[in-house]
Amino acid sequence: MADSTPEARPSLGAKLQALNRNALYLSLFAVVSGSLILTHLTSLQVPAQPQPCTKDTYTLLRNIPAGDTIIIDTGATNSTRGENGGEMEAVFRIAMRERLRFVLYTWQEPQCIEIAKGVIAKINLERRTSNPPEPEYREWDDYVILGFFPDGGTMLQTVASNIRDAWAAKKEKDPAGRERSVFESPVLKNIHRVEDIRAYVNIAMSNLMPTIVARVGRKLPVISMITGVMFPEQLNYYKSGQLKGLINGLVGTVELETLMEKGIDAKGEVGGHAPGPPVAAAFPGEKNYARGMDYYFAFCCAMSLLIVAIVIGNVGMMLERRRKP
Amino acid sequence: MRELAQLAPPTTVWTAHNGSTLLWVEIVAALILGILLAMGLSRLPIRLRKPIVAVVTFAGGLYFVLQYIWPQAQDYSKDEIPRGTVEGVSFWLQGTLPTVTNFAQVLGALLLGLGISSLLRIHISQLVKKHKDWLFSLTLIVSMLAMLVFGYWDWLSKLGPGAEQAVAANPHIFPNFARDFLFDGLFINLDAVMYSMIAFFIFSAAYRSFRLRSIEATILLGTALLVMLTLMGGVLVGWDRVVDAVGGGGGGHAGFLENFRLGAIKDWVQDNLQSPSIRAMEFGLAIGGLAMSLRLWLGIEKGVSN
Amino acid sequence: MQYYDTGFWQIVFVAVLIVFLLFNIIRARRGKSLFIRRIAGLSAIDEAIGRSTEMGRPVLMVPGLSGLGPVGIQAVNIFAYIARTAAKFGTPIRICFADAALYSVAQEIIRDVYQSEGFADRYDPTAVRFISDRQFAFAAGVAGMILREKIAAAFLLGDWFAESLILAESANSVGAIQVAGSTVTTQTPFLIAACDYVLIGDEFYAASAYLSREPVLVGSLVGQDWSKLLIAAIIVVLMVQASIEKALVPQTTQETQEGPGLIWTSKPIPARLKKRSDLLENRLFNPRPPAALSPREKRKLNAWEKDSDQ
Repeated sequence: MADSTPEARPSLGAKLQALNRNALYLSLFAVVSGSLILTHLTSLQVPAQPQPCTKDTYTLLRNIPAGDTIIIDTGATNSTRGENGGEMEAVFRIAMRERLRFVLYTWQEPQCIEIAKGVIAKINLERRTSNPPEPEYREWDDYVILGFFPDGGTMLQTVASNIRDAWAAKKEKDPAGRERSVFESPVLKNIHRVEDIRAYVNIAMSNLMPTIVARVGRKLPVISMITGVMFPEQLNYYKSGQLKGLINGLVGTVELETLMEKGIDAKGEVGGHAPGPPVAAAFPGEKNYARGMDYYFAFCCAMSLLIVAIVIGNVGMMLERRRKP
Repeated sequence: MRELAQLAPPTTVWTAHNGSTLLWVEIVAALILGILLAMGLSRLPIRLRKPIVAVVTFAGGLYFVLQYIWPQAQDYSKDEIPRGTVEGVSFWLQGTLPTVTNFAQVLGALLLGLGISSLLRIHISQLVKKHKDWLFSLTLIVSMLAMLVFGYWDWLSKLGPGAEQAVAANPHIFPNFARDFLFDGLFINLDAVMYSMIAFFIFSAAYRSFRLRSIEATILLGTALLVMLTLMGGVLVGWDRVVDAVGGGGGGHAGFLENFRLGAIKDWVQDNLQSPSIRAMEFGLAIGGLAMSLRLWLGIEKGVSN
Repeated sequence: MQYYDTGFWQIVFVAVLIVFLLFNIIRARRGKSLFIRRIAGLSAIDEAIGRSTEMGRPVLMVPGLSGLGPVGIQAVNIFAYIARTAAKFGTPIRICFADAALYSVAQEIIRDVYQSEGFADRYDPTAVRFISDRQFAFAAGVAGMILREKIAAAFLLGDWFAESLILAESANSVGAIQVAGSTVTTQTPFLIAACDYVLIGDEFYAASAYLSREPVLVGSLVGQDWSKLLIAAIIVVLMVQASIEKALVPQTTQETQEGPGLIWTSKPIPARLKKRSDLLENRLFNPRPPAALSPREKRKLNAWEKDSDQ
């Protein structure tokens, strides 16, 4: 005869504490998939409150004069497209709308350049099909790609002391198809020292700041666009003033997109209407909410599910404690 | 004569051009020298090996220490002649840095070959002896060889004038298609899959470990919940509206209740608990790294196994 | 010729730290007995190896993505200690590397450990292996090994990044006891959530001194503690100094870069409270960049240098 006494069956508390792992994974998969589909169908927008570090990033980028050059050091791979992908899109959109020239390279993974090229092509298509159409960004005239540097730390050290020496061997094809030194392009023609660069934007998934800040941090403003997990560590660099801007993964991307949509008024309010020239204006009528906002609702749903799971586990533990004196 | 003295120095050992005879002579001479050095070192008595290793380690470390602490000349052109020892050393350090880093990269590539040979040795042996899970070894070897063959074939097909454009115009050529399928189609997406799995692991780890077992666990749980709530913009905005409603005014005029905005609580925890803790750990790690590096540099590091 | 101001005080500070380290190493070598507190994770090493031996399952050691540097060498040092104990008990080991240079060094060290213990026949050359230098290929390979070989103990010590949780959860799913430590502070919470024992911060660097009690290592550890105390003292002193300076010492001059040559000049201003950038410690740790020269200034300077040479 089967033993079905109450002691043999696990209690409710025990069951709540030991939910099947596969069931947890399935619930997460269902919630995230469902929320992504819902966002896609309804273009849902979740409000965001930009943090000071995001506002500083936006202000810095918006106040660089048109035609000046920035460095974009990309580490966005296919794996981190949820966070770094959105950051990269946002910074390219801002740079292109501000008519900033940029130097693109990576010292993290070779695939980062291919991914960046794909994003540039996508934004160029947006600009071409917008109403009214905007000029596309062209390699050589508006940006140069220096490629992959295996030893980025040493390269940065050379850049800091002599930028023309560091990239002396780098060549790009001009519009006529001839390979020429990158310093002949309009992007780097007037760059003689690293201080002539207006900002260094680092998009990364690991902590490269000790290297970057040590080598170029005092010579030009550094902005870090990082994954959420690295944010607490990078925040120390921002608080000490070594970083001039910081974007916190997906949440930071949504904040940046919100600033692109609403701007910062003269009093420093986001989306406020204080009279006078804004600290950093919005881009009215343009596509501002993009990859960040596309993923944000799913992210919030996943966080909520996580909180529910933690609460269930703790409720189970308390029930079990009450059952056993 | 002064003007002539300002001209660039003649081509040296370090500045031989690509493809020149001087460079080929240097490569062959370096190869012969390297073989002789390796043979000589292997014949040395054991008691001499440790001092030689210590001297070479010290010299290598000294080069990079000087890179940091020696005054670095700025904005000098290639045809400037250094004035004095300080400037001379500075020019030499900066001039040799690209060469030294090239050495390190070549060495890294050779060592990668050593790692790959170890991998192949292990898995070919498992395959031949039909050990348990030999199928995984076969998969590894086949994938590695496929990537090597098609990757190299694809690179070869893009050499030469106009080749890259021809490939871009017709992406269905077999080696290029295979390489794109293996790298862009398989490898990059598998990379993304592995990264995405972390979300599931975080979920199960958090569910398992965030319990009110002790005071420390309660603090951990409380701060984790706070951080998770502040990451959700909707929650932040909603909470702020409640504070505004209770405090009797929006836009930062809720008086004392301003301190109970979720963002304000999060900022307090971040500024007063999280950031100082991380800073303290970073200080400790940096000093630990400094100590370890110093011991390695001076050759006084004692392995635990000694 | 211009030289970049790297900051005199930073070099002095590092020199003082080095003096502390070397002084304590000399003290320890002279026989001075120095105290190290108990570190739970390291005390659990013998327990973990014993458990593996009883279960007949291997011990896994992974240094994360560490390269051939201080972190990687420290990880291998700890693994050598674990391998020594495992050699004595005949426990199988698996050590997986993502860096080929570290792998080749570790292979020699582990082989030497087995030979020095007199168990050369127990050494399995396939126990120390290179997996892949790609982060997630490495994680997939090691996770697969954990699940197939059902390891009983895992030591995850070194430079860990996103793959830390994959391996920690995989080891947890097969019931392995785990001791972990990362030099990347943001991975520590993940390891704490998933592992049994975690070495936090520089407990990782203290491990070699703790396990071997070698005078050089213990002396170095005490030197590190002196350095941390010095940093704490400097923070307190500068905090007090900055508070007093900000509250009581008004700013009456301002330094700006002016003129066509953008030379730093100091001019008087109406007295006001100091901002953070005016305080002494900000100027100590953030030296001003050299004054920029306009092209005309540069031509003048070059002409002057040519004249003075003749």
